[in-house]
Amino acid sequence: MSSPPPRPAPNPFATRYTQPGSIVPLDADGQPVDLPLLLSRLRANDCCGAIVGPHGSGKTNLLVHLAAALATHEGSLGPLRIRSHRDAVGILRSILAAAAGTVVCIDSWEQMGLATRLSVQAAAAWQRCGLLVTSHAATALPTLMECRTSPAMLAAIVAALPDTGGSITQADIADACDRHAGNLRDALADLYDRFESRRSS
Amino acid sequence: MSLAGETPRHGPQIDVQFDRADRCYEPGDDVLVRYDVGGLGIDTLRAVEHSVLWYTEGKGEEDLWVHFFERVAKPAVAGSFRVTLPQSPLSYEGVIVKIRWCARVRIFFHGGRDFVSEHVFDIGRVPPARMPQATKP
Repeated sequence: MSSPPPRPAPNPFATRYTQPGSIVPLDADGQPVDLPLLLSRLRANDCCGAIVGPHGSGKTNLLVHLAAALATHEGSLGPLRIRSHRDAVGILRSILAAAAGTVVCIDSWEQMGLATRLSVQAAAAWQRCGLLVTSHAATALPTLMECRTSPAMLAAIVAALPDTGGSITQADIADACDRHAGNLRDALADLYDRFESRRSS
Repeated sequence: MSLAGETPRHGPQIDVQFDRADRCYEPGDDVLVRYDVGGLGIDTLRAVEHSVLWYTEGKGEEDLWVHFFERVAKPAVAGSFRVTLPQSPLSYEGVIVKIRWCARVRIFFHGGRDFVSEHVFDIGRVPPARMPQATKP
């Protein structure tokens, strides 16, 4: 078969390559997170835990990977994000319909009101479900992992993305990480713009 | 699920050929896609799905629309599908967002594993947008 004609290279920093679940979870040294170890810690805590860290530190990405791993054994619900009262009602209904042992995974736990958090915790306990959340600060749940970022971590993420064709340098990566104070989501968006800018010139 | 684009990563090799070498079509055209799954025996496949879809690529949330889908429950290692393309959206190579059309072949193995191969093509000939260059004062 003949090879296809050359097309514009995809932007490696587009959401489809960087969205939560697309990137292997890494630690601050840029090494893959030991997911089996985290899962065993979670199980030791009756499948209750919190992934804690600042904006753009990889919490949601880790949650998506853990939820997928849990789905094959305990069963998982989510990841869920509560943005409104209607969401909260729907999620409570889902928890109350979940099988015992299911792990309920909730993103942005701290953005929920106290009453909603207590209701979700009570519903999960009633159904004998686990509860795994992400939060910017420590919660009443045991902290499963504290997420931190570094230029090495961002460099490892970029290395795993589609090839940039040399248009993004290590200096760009270090600068983007520094400029956005370690917020990897914003740093990747910054690198998206740099890639587009250099493609144009 | 594993995903392979024009440059397949790990997994089987799926060669896809369009009926136009430049892969450029006009709205309302028919596109004929032929594929060949290399290195696999027919007994390893459980099903094959064909689809034609567009997706957005950019910094925001990805949008996606499946224009055509069919599942072949009695798969072969080679096959084809023909689809009439819609009037819109046209392929667009923007800075903030891009619209890409693609033909997707997804194969399912006995045992649950699956593999996806995506192949981009164009509808229309909208020129690519580029970032404006800064002007010197």
